[in-house]
Amino acid sequence: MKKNWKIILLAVILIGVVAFYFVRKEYNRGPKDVTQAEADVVIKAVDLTTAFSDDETKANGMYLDKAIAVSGVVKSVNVDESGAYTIMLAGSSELSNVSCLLDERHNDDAKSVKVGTNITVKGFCTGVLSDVELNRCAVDK
Amino acid sequence: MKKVVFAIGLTVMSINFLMAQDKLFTKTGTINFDASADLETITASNKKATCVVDTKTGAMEFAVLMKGFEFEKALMEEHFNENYVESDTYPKATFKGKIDNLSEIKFTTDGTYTANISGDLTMHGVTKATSAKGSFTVKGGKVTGASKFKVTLSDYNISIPAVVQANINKEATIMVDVSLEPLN
Repeated sequence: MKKNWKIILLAVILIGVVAFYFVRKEYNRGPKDVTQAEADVVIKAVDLTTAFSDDETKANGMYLDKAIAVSGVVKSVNVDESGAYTIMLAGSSELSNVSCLLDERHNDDAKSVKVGTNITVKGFCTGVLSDVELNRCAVDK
Repeated sequence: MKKVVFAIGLTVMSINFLMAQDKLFTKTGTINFDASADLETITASNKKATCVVDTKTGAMEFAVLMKGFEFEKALMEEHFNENYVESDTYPKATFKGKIDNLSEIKFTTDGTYTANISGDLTMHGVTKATSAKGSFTVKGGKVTGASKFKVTLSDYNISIPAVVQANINKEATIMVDVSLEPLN
């Protein structure tokens, strides 16, 4: 009887430790790295901006939170004061482009990007303001 | 005669120049927020806010995508989007307002100016009149703006469950930083 007690206590402690480990791991989980994910959608920048300007609600339903591989002509590469890079891919009009904010883990990707060339950027779609916005992006190599 | 033509030309050119300078904008404004409470640090950053300022009328507009707020912890980001701001239903937050003391701000003269801003803030499907103090800094023709203000979450129907009341502040501090460029 006494022996059983010890085994139960040991099992409870063990479960507790394992549970604590997983809770802590889940709590500290970092943001997804887009390069580790398969693209949910592969699309041209022009088609993506058109989808949003035609029907924003429908496009939100189709693209929000999805990992999107979008290809297009680089319009500009900018870096802000905090060191965050934005690659702009030309869309269906002068005012409607695909604005890709690089994941800081992939900031180096910006170095090889040249304005006027055709590239593919992978990122998570957050919606549309004037441009279609992708966050945590990486340049597809 | 030549002088007159030159003077007219110069006037037209400067009017053109001034008109082009009327509106300032950015698509890469930063909005940070801090809703830290005793038990937890909760901060997020959005670097893709759009902002337009009409320096002639004082009209001001902001728009930001809620899903564009980046947290260090993925779990917090998910809870923020799913349970609190419900970004699938309410993807954007906007501010439409004006600079109340526009005459005190010289957008073409170097200096730092205090701005009193008031207008409507829309978030989580709720629009509320709000006001905040901010500042504009003009340096070498470049205009930057900044503001820091508090938002009471319950005003926007964002409720905090009792279990996490010690983790999340009822008032979120919002910090806005924009470097503006002329809109042509």
